[in-house]
Order: sequence, then C-alpha cells, then structure tokens
Amino acid sequence: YFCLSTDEDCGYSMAPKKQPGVETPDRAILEKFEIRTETYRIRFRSVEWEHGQPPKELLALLKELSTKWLQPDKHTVDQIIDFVLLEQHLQVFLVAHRPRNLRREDKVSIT
Amino acid sequence: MYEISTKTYRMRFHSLEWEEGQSPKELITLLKELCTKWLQPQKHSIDQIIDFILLEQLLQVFDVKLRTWVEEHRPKTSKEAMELAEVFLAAHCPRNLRKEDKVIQRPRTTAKPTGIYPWAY
Repeated sequence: YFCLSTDEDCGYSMAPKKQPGVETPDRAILEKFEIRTETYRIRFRSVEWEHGQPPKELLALLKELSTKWLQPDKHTVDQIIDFVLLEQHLQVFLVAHRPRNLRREDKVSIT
Repeated sequence: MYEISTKTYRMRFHSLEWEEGQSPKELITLLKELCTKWLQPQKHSIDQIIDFILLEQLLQVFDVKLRTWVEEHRPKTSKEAMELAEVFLAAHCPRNLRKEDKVIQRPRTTAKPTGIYPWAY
C-alpha cells in the first residue's frame, strides 16, 4: 500500500515535523484518524455507482472527494497537475514491477 | 487530416506502460507531456482542470453502455456528462429517477481496480 501524502508534516517514511505549540484541535483529530489527502484520493478512485443512485448525487460525491484530495484552495495549477502526474507515475511503476501482474507479453526480464 | 483530441492524450496518459530500458526520467517526461496536452493548464483555470479530472472519473464509474453513449456526445464538463447520464437513464430506466430514490452511502471498503484504470490499491 503506497501512501503519497501532500501534507507537509506526515508520511510513513519521514518523521513528522512537529512545531511546538502549534497543535490545532483539527490537526490532532485528523492525525488521530489518519485522514490524509491520500485517503481521499483512494476514495475518489474507488467510488462505485450504486444501482438507482441519481447521477447528481454521484457527481456531488465525486466532487467532494476530488476537492478534498486536490485541495484547489491551497494549491496552484502546476501542483494539481503534479498530483495527477505522480499518481500515474506510481501506477506505471507498480504495474511494471509487481510480479504477479506480469503478462506473457511483458518485456521485463528477471535475472 | 488526423486531429489528436484531448481525449486521445487522456487515454494515452492513462494507458502508458513502462518500456524495458526506459529511464524514470524519460517516463516522467513523457507522462508530463501527455498530461499537459490533456489538461492544457495554459488555457484552463484550476477549477476547469479539476473538473476534467472529475469528468474522467465520472465516466469511469459509468457502466460501459452508458459511458459509450455519453462519450459519443463529447461532454466538456462533468455537469454535461451528468445531464447526459440523466437523459440516458430516463430513456432506459425511468424508475431510476424517482424522487424517493435514496442515495446509498457506502461504507468504506477495500478498493478494487476498475477497468483499465487500476488506481485503487
């Protein structure tokens, strides 16, 4: 499970940078429940259409999740493009390097 | 004359595979080129770009028949795609648009890949 975080002070591979005295209640709650933009990204990509669900509601849900993932109020256009790019880059990397997904026509050689 | 549409760039961006021997730098450069040609940041606002991403995911959630029909009408925004979906559903499944239909809030489950876009993992 790869976790890509756009938040500055979290991440599995880095020690979180804590600023003393700057612990807001909101941040503490978010950290407690480990909700990060990555979570929203995965939820955004995992939405399924329930039978009978009105398209309007589906769109509203997708819009909410994409906004929480990409956070347009905090980021520039270039940063948003970078998020999409990073996601796809990682996907290509995973597809290429996950042995159980190899198909016969894959050119990856195993030495 | 063959015109490459943004849809083509979008499809190529999402179906790109890593060629053996290709360096990560080459890959990211190519991805960046395709992504930029799809989203065209020089022409669009941040809200428009997010809407393109949203539109794509909305189409992906549709079943094949609906998606094909909607795409034939070349929606430019997620709202247009949603309205087209309503038209399609009204024609094919009138019961889907009853007022008493409730939105089902799914509990979070493990993600499953869908179609050619296996993002959820």
